[in-house]
Amino acid sequence: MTNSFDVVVIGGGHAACESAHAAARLGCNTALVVVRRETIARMSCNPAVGGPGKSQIVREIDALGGLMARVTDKTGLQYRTLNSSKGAAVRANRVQSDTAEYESAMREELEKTPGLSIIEGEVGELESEGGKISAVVLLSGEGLLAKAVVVCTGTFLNGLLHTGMEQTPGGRYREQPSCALPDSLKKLGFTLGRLKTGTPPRLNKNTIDFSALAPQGGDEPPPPFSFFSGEIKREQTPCHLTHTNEKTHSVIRAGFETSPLYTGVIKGVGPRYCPSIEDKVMRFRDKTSHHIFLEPVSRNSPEIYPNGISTSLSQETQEAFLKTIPGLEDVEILKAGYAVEYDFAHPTQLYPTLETKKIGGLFFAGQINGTSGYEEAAGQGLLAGINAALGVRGEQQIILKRSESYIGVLVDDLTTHGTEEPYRMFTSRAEHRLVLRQDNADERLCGLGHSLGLLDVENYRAFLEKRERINSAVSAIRKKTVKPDSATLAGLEKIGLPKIDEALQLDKYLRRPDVTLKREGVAEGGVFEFLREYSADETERAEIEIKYEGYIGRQNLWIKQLGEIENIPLERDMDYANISGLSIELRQKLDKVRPVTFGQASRMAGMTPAALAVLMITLKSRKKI
Amino acid sequence: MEKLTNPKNTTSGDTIAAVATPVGEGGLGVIRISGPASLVIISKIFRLSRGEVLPEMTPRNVYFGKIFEDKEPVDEVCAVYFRAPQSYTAEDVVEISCHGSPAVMRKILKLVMANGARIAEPGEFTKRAFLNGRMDLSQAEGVVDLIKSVSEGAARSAYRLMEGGLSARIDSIRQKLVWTLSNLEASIDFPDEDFQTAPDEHIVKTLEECAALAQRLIKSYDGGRFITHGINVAIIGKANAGKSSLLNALTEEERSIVTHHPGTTRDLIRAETELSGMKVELVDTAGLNPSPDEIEAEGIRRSLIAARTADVVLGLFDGSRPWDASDDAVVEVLKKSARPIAAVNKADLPSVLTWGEPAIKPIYISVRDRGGFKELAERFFDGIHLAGEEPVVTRLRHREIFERILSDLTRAKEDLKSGRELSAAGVWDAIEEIKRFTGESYTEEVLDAVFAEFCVGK
Repeated sequence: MTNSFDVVVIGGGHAACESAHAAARLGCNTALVVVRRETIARMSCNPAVGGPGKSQIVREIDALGGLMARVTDKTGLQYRTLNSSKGAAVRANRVQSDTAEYESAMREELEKTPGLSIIEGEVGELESEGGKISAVVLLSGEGLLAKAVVVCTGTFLNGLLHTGMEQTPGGRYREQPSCALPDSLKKLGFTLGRLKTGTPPRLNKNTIDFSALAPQGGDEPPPPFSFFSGEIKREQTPCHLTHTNEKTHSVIRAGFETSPLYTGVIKGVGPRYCPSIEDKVMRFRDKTSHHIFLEPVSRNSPEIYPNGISTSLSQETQEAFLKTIPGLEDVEILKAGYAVEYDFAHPTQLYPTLETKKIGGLFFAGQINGTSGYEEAAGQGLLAGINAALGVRGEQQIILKRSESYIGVLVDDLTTHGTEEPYRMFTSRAEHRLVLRQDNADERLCGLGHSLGLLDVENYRAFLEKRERINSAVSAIRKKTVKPDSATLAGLEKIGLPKIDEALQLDKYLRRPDVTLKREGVAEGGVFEFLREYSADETERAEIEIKYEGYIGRQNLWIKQLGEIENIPLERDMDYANISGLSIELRQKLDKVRPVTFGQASRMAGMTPAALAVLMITLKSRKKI
Repeated sequence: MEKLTNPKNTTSGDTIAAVATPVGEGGLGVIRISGPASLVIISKIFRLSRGEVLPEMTPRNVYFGKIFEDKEPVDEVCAVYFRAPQSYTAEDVVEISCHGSPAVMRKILKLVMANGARIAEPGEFTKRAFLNGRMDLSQAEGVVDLIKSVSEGAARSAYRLMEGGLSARIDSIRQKLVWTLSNLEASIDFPDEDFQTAPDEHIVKTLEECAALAQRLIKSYDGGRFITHGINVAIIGKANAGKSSLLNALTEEERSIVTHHPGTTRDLIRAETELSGMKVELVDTAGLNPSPDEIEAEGIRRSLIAARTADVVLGLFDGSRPWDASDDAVVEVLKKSARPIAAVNKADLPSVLTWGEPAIKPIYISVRDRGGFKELAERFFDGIHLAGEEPVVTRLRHREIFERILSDLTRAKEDLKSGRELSAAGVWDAIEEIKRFTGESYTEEVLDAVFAEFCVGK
């Protein structure tokens, strides 16, 4: 075995998998260094992929040629579309995964990727030479020479697990933390902060009484994540819904004295939008009940994940409050819930390529950058892997724009503002939400995936063919006129669409808020039968394109207007300290963030119109010289 | 010397200066300097009355002394220092009050510039105040309007704009929209959480409230325009109805020649006055005579043009004579006007006139003893908020913004039917418009247009 690699990826989570796969696909001799091979792609918390904002990221990964969507489709227990009535851009797939199957399917994908070696070991130190990364040294003493390194260590850096007053060093349940790497990062000059997140107890399925609980099934047919999966033929497994009650809450309150959160033991900052059950009881005092989804973790495991009650209360309190919940009266805890505190590196230390500003060739991706969520991690991992490879090949690295992808929004937010709590993606973070839909991620990114050499040629061809068919469906709709004859009126009424008084273009009709094509309308004998030759997906895409035309036109105009200043490049070595006319505070901030474009600078907190004007004048005058 | 650079100084590198008082001779002249070098400049050219060097200047204290060019005194002046950010521009500002001779002011300004300032562009002081966050864009526009105000009413509405009256109103719309968005966005981003967001009916109600507020502001522009620019009133009527007398009485001047001979006024006579704090331009016109000679015919043609372009058309009728064809002609003109007033004059004489147009209700006045003038002035300003607390839109830029907000909100309401996401898009657009109003989001062209209206020194 050689000990010299182009790219070394440290970690085995969702960021690391995409990163290593992408780097290898781009022709780099790549090593994935993970403590134990069987922990690759572990879902440390909830057994699900997707949701608003996140599903768009998963689709973007897919369009670029990444793995998460494909593997999720192959290993789901339940497939749903959320927000289906709220609009196409916020529609989001979510899949309950069979976590064991997910892990093995992902591992197999990596194992069969040419040019990718999986090495078991723990990293002790990163070495650099002349401001560039040079090697990774394992605790075993083995050294791996590397031209680029991607660090995806999740919650493992100085990880500390809390259950009640009991503290256990660990990155995850019964897994040792990494204590050497944080020191090495500090030695290289990185500033680390501390965050906290948590997870609920895992319950024994065989000790739960499901008879009184409402089941929640998946959608039929199962909506796939990947553009390239085709039809999914898997049996779906239901989740069950139950609730906490006032008795639960009083048991929880009684347990506060052994809560590491409320006794001040935990110093790391937790996510506001994903509060623990003790936080919810504390903060929403007049709410007498919170709901809990009981989610199976795997077909072959008795474990149930109770979504909604992440906790770091003592194991005794956890047992006591669980038993007050309908269906859980006799429940057995398989693993206690815990909070985990961990080090992260402030992401303003990164360029929007995810390369660190201090050390060339060194990239960070995933929770080490202060994010939360598998999807957010995977998106960063993919970008870091691509850029690590491009860097090794001596090519221009890529930056994803806010106007073309959620990954772009994520990375721009992180590298411009940093984060003080675990960062989760929401659709409301994307100002160009209407154009960043999950349905058109292929439109947005397949071209890039193909030109990078990451997306399979067959998949790219499939995308081109589909786009062709969507275009043809769009023009078929545009050419169609609906006339108020009795057959049409009956057809419209049959599927609950408003009637028309005079002949009108179908695209005009379709733009009315209360009109949609509807599946029955396109079916045989339906009023829109002429669209039958197109798949459901294709007609839907055509419909969205027409319905959203006006809005998208407006957003695109805005993007274009922004583009004029957005894309003005700022040099990486700009001398901000000497721009007179800017406050000292802003100079320091600019010096730290080192925005790569004028647009990024304009989004920095504390940036005023006056300061931007000064910056613009400085830029202009420098160009003249 | 004391520390002269102020770390709190937040803006643009250079220091600007200008004469802030009107061009020409005056008792006093003020030279205003703004920017980081203000203190350095004053310390170089100013000595206290007994010749000693200026100590560290206490902000807002008046220092009496002399401006020197080399060893030569130029003028006795007072200097005041306003420390950033507690100044008009939020930068370091020094104001020098000197004697108001153009030659002296020119000399001092030259000295200021020789020591490191550059001449300010028109509006640049206020532009800096805006850019530094001292005021929002609408408040800066209020400053322009205040400087240029033509009447008490115009000054009052400009002051209210500068004070942030319109900003406060738009802020209340913004708060409602933010509430709406938080509900729309929460239900989008947390579809599986068990908290309740506001139902659609509630959202619709709030959007309607905001749309109504925007609508009111748009409507106020009709009057708002009059407040800023004044109101133009064309007086028409048959010969000898008393049009010229009315103009003279309202302006309290003998602007129009008044005789007993019908048709004395042949051309348009314009006169300005201020009524109820509003600038009013009155236009006296030739009488509408059904069988005019050549000169009269030209006069009548001009009368009709004046009526067409006037904000208000005042049709004057003679109560002491019977209704005739000329009165019919006046009624025709009134019917074409957006703001017509019919007034029957000579109420002091026995009434002979039988009112001949049921669609219009006249008021009765007497020019001779100024009877009914109060009611007449009220009719001029019908629907225009004069003294009320209601903010008024006086600028086209603002009206256009409120019109776009109205259309965004109307769309947002409609779009709730097809899903919360499109509705949210409309609300986001409306908030973006609000940011354009306050100048939080702006383009250079807008700023240039706004600040180009200023005179130098402000």
